[in-house]
Amino acid sequence: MKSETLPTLSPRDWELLREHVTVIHRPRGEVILAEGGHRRAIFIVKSGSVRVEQSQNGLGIALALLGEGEIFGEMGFVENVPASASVIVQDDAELEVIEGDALESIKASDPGFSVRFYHGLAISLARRLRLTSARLSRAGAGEAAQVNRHRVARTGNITARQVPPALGDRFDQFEQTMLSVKLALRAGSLDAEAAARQLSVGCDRVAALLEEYTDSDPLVEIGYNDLLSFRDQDHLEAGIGDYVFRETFGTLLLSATMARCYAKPRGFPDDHETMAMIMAGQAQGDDRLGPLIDRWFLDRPLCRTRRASAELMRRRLGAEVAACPPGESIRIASLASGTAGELLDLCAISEGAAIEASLVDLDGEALQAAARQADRLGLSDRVILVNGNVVGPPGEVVSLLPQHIVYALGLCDYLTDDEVVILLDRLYELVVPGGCALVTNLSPDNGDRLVMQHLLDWQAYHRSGEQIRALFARSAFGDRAVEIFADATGATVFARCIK
Amino acid sequence: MVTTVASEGDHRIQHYARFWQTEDPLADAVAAAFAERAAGGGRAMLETALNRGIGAVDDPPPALVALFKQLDEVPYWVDWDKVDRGSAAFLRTGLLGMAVLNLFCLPIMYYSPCGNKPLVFTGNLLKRAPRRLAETGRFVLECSRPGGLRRFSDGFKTNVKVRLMHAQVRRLLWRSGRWNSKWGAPVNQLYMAGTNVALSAGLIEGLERLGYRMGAGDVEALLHLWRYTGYISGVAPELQISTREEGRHLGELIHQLEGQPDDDSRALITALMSSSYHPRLEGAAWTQKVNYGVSRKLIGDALADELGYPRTHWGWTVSLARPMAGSLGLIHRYVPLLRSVAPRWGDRTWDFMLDLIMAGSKAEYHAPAHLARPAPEEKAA
Repeated sequence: MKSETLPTLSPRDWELLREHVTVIHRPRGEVILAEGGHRRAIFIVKSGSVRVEQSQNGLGIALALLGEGEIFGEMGFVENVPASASVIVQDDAELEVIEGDALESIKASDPGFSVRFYHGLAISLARRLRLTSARLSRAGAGEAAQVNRHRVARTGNITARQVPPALGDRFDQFEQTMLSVKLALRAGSLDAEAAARQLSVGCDRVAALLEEYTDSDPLVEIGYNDLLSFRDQDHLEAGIGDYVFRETFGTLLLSATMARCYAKPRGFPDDHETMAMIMAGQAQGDDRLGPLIDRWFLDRPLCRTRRASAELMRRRLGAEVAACPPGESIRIASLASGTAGELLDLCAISEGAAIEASLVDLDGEALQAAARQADRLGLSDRVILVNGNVVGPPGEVVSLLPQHIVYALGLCDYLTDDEVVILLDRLYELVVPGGCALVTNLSPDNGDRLVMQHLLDWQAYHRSGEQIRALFARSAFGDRAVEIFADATGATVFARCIK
Repeated sequence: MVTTVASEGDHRIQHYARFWQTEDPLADAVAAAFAERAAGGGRAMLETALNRGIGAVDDPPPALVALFKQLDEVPYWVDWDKVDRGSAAFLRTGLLGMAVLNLFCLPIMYYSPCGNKPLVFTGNLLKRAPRRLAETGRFVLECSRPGGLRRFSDGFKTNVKVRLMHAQVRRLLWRSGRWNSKWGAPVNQLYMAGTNVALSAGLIEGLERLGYRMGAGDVEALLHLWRYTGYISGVAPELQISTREEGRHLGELIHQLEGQPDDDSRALITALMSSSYHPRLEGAAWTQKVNYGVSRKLIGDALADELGYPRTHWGWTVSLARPMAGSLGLIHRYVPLLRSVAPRWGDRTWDFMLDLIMAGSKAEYHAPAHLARPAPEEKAA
């Protein structure tokens, strides 16, 4: 019996504690400490694992998973207040328990023990406080890759002389098209299908204009138009994007899905509700044009690839599960999971296979939605929801049990190269030998790259299969073979590697 | 292309070839600093520094301070009387000077197959040929006006702006990902020096071919004016010329380094010769023929053929003009009254003609969609 949590205790102190320890065996799912309950004792995990879980809107969301050697109950012991979270056995666990009364008696008999015990707890708590402070001082920097809280000002990138007059003319035409469709719909002189076609052509032209004017040659020419504005190509591309955004904002954001993608109410673009709208593919929006524009957007490469990649992930996970020996319990973790519809669907249909799903996400709301869905599907006992970061400094990332399959669907889109390598290292760490890691990334072939960047303020890293392969090579996976494939649209690249 | 020539053992060429890759560090640093500001921020600072001095700029970037330290320091060799004499010598040439600029100086500048790349980097840039003609003329005029190169005069300001525009062109082209370093640096020192030579010694040479001769003092003064212009433009001291002989040597050197003109040179020439000097003349085929005919006579058949000039019968106009231009030169040298009033007339003539060209510069020309000389990577692809 020894824990890193109490580093100041001497061997003699541990001897004393051992005399008062009770070893208990608890099966999976048993509640050791109930949130709000009052039990004054310190627990040390001897084997197996437990999860620390907090109730959010009546749904249990895990805050941490504790494995061998880790300690819990010490906070309640010091404060003597009801437990702030439940502790539930994750994997059949053997625990060492030191009851509060026994501890008090040791403290009374050996004042030196008391000093060392509290010193150890103080070190442990100080360590946690330091991590929390660091996290707060970075203002969520550890999550910045996933959470874009601030928008940049969209001015000052280009001068009036640099905006090509021909571009202005094209937007005049766009406005006229939109207005004429709107008036025709109002007058009832155009049916919805014909209106949708006209509108789609008009909106496609906007996307095409972005492509045309952000190409290298036009940008050089635009730069030449006003050299003393000292604009580089990236400024000019952003400036053209700003211009197109301003010209189309009022119209395109009548689409409910586009408006949500732009607004990012959860602080990041791919939140679970946005994804639900994209997955459902049901056009919504304001005014007469809104639903039609939404329909256009939902049929764009971005939405198609989001749907196709989720479906492909579900199928690939199914294939991985099918390849596992029958009857074996299979652990699958989804990182930055959102509601992980693909995984829950798989759990629901793979009744023969004992899948244990761990969903890890920073967004508690997404996890609650996943919990509700798991509940509806009768999967609550097979799904663990963990609220935490998967890429961050040591001590900040959530701990998970070793997994057979770990995947991150769409996460790499928001990570720099270095962060992707950290993620891959994390995947390597989590996957059991012979287990499988799967990640996806938007490919440079995504036809909506510019629409995302300039019209939806949706910044994403696009990578080719070769680029992802190179990142695997930089990670702990090293020179292991990486299988690269794409979804049906070709706009999302998948990479799979076996540890 | 540079290495091929240099490997033949010509040490002088090898020595000067390094200027092929040399840019203008002072101006480039300013462009880099201004790129970090919002659009218009750098320009406002530049205007303040030009109009009121660097001291009036609030919190100037160190790069701007360094540039103005160089600009505000007038070299010991500048003789303002000589600069003014050079200015008068140029303005006296009036219409003749303009014809030589357009039909002699610019064609020999466009001859340069590497130097011309920034002007034709995209096919559409060719459409700017008429406007560039007017802008070059305006630049030459402002630099050549009496007192034009004094610190707060328009010529000085235009010169500094052009220098920074060149720096920005370099940034844009390097960052385009398509600039081929085998072309040297964009707007490199040899190109800048070559332009300076073409507009000074080249102009004098062209005028002489047209029959107009300046006195030795005027020639020396005009070269002096352009030497200082080169200093303001950021031309390396080693490449600033003081005599026609130096200019000729430098021109030959650049010619040997550059090699033969390419399709881009010919495309630029076509655009230049198609430029109309008056909106009413736009599209008139005979003006193009006259331009080609006169220009061929001035630059010689060898260069004209290399540049793809068609043969026209209009070369006789030069033969006809020579006695008249020669007489005008003599009058300017030896008739004091006309010598003193001619610069004013010349100034007005230039102004009038440049306004006309600018009005006609809206015309567009058919241009190739892509660069005539692809980068080697493109060829490989």
